[in-house]
Parts: sequence; C-alpha cells; structure tokens
Amino acid sequence: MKIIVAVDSNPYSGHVAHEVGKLAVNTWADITIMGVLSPLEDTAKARETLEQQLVKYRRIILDSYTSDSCPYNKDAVEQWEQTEDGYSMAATGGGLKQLQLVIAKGAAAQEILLYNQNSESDLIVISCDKDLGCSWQSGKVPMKVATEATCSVLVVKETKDPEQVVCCLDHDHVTQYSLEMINQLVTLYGAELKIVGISDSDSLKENIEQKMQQLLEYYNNLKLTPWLEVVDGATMPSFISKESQKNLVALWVGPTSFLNRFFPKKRISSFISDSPSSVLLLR
Amino acid sequence: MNVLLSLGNDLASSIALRYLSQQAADFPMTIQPLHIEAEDKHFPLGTGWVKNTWKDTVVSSSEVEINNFIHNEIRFCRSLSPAITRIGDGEKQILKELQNGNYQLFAMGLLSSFSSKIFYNLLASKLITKSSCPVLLIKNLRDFKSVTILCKKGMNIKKLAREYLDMYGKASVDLQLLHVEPETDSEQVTRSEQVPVYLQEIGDALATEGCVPKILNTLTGPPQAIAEILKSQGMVVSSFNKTSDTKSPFFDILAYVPTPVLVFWS
Repeated sequence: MKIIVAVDSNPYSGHVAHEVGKLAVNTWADITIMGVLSPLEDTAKARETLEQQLVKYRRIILDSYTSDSCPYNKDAVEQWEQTEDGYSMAATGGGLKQLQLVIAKGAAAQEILLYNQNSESDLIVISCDKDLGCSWQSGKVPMKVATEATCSVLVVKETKDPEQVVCCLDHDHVTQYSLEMINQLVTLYGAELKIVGISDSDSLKENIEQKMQQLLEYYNNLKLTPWLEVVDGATMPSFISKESQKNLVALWVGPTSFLNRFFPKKRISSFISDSPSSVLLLR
Repeated sequence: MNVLLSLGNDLASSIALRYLSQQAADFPMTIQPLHIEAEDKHFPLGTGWVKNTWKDTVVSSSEVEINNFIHNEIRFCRSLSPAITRIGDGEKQILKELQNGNYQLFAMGLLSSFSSKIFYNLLASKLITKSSCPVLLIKNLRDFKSVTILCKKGMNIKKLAREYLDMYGKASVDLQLLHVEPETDSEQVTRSEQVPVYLQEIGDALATEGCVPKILNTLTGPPQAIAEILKSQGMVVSSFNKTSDTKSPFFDILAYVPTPVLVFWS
C-alpha cells in the first residue's frame, strides 16, 4: 500500500501525522509525506520551515511504533536532494518500507494530484482546518484533491474519534482493497461498522442485497458484527448529513459509481466542507 | 415457546434465522421456519391436475432451496423444525399458519431503515392487524444478552410484563425497564433515576418472579437519540394498541432502534 500524506506547516497537519502513524502501525505502508511551496512563498526561510515540519511529521509517524518492529529506517534525515522531476526529496533507505519526504513547488492541489498520478499511490491522506471551512491557508486544497484524485482520499478533521465507520457501498464495485481500507479504519478508531444499502423507493435491489449479505459474511468471519441499514436514495443526503455528525462516512465515488447520482462533484465538496467528521472517498 | 419464523432466501431472513438460533441456544424454544413462494412469480398455467402438479413441483423445488439456505446459514440448531413451504399470498399464508398452529411468537427479519415508514407500514399491514401473536422484528444481528422494556404512561404495562415473563422469563439477560418521555424539540437525552410509581411496581412484580431489572430509569429526549442509546441492547420490548395507537414519537423509537424489537399487542 502506498500512502501520500499531504501536509502544510499548520497545526491541523500535525493531527494528520498522528492519524497516519496509527494507520502505518497496522498497514506497513510505503509513505510519502508531501508539502508544497507556492512560487510566491519559495524563500529559503519558508523552505526551511516546511522541511522542519516534514521532518517533525516523520518523527511523529516513527514514534507510533512502540516496539522494535518498525519497518522504516529510523535514522535522522540528513540531507535533501533535488530530483530530476523538480522535487526536493529526503529519504533514508535501508528499512523494509519507505518513509520519504517530498517538497514540490507550485499550486498545492495540482502538485499533489500530479505526484499521486506519477507515484500511483493508493491513498492520499489530507487534513483540513475546520475553522477555514475545510481549507488550507493556501486555498481549498483538500476539497480539490478529494474530488479530482484518481485514488482514494481520506480527509481528516480534528475531531474526536468516530463512533462508527459508515460505509455507503457502491455495490457493483467493492474491491478487496476497499474492504481492507475500511477494516483498517475500524481497527484504527476502535469504531463500529455500519454497512448501508441504498434502496430505490423502499425496495432493495437484489444485487445490492446480495452484496450486503456477502459483506456481512466477510465481516462475521473477521469476528466483526456490522450494523446493516437500508436508506432510500432520495433521503441519502440527509442520512449522510446526520451520520457525519459523529461518524466517519465512507463513500464510493469511482467514475462508474452509482453513488455519483446522489453525490456529484459539487455536492461532495460541500459535504466534505460541512462534515464535522473525517470523510473517506473510495475509488 | 413455539416461534413461527417467516423465511425467504434473503439477507433479512439470514439475520433473523441466526439471531433466533442464538436465543434458542439459551432457553427452550421451537423455531418453525415458514417459506412462502409467491404464486404470481411463477405464472401458473392450466387448471386441475396440471395446476396441482405445477404447484407441487414449485413447492418441492422451493423446499430444497430454503433448506439449502438454512444449512448455509447455521450449521446446527436443535430447536429448528423442518421448513414448511407454501405457495400463495405471503400475508394470507402466514396468518393461516399462525391460526392453525400453536405459536406464541411470530418472528421476521426487517432490515433497519433510516426511514420510519417501513416500520409503520408493517404495523398497518393485514399481517399485523389480523394477527394476535406478538411479533419479533429482527433488524440486526446482536448478542442476546440484554433486554429493555420500553414503557409509557397509559400503556397496559402489567399485561406487557406478564407476556414478557411468559416468553423470556427464563432467559439469562440483563433487564432494564425504561419509562420514556420523547421530546421532539429537545436535542439531548437525559437519563433520570426518578421513575413513575407504575414502573417501580412493575419492577417489583418482575423481581418477585425472579426476573430482577438491573436498571429502572426515565429517559427524556428526541426519539432518534433515544433509539441510538438503545442500540446496545440485544432486544427492545414494548406494546402497541392496534385500535388507539398511531404514529407517535414513542413508536418512532421502535422504528429507529436498529436492534431487534419485540412488539406485544394490547
């Protein structure tokens, strides 16, 4: 699993490093902590500040490992190198898995999306500031990344851990990777799992029901007893709005996902912005 | 206790079957699965011998299908009788079986829903209005370790307690008795140990029968929030008066609670 942790030098990004640290303990993922300098602020001092922040976030992730079983090289970062692609990069080889730091220069959202495309990462984890309407100080980066990315995106908000992970499934495209991602979050937060089937005028389509049944069996085999709930498509937005008050909502938003019917890009942006809890968009 | 379980080859039935098997492991119970094959699904042709032969064929193939379903869901449940399969209208066939058989409880799977409409539609259905048998609506698979009896003023609580004791008196579960005052305009649930006299009396009556409630409380708050609190329970029990009760914040709690709900009729 490859994870990009998109950060800036504000406190909300520190929170995301803690969350990724917990996730990394279970997943042993290859992690890239990425910061972006805008051309306007590309001064030596700004660069140094961002470098220090990235090193700090790396330390937070490494400190999540309390035992000796850390898959990353724990040596201190000694120097930054310029790559041919124009990135400034710091990596300490030798570990079983990679934990590298990358600084790009340009528009934050575009650079994160471009790096994701080139590195073929599975997940982008990005934080956002609740007070700024889920934005970074440099703009609506989390929303742009969440809606435009080709991989899954976890938008982390600084709230207490969710009580439930609520999965609104696109029942035609549930991949093993998605299920594992959900399992990780359930474990990470010690949350309950709720599987939501979307019905059409109160009747649950046969393929949706079959998929729910398969998932129930899958999770039962993992000794998890998920809650099951049926939601009429027409009431989906109000359901999501209610659930996101306390719970982490996971939505499938792939190009052929039927959830796109209820959550077009614009609505996803406002959902991410309004949701008091973290949001996972699965692709 | 004899339980009639309505069973189809679907998710709700799977949950219902597994939940009831779990209950049956704790105390004596006979579960009679009943599968109804809708007549119009098969477009019957002909009359007389042709029609009867066709029906027999449909019943026997459905029987195989439903027995396979049962065996796939649970490995062994000694309380489970062989499934009865009928062809025809679902409600009519269930009512007929409830009338002819000696059942104390009717159970069915009903997936938990964000909307209360499905619950109220069921209460208004012929199946419920014409049946005198209490109904257990199994919405999710939960451990049967705790039960809440949900009460309100004006409810025939003595009858409810008696019926509960007759059915589940021998179950080793943590029992709580709650007097509920739903408030649609409030935002939070408040719990108080101050309970009305009637609840205290019922608590004492249950205790004399060896069924001591661990908690006697009053809950005040919005129905959905109360339902959320009750989701930790293995079963929620209450009573509905078919002639005078209608949609109300109290019954909204039963509609929204995602755990199994046992409804007695008063």
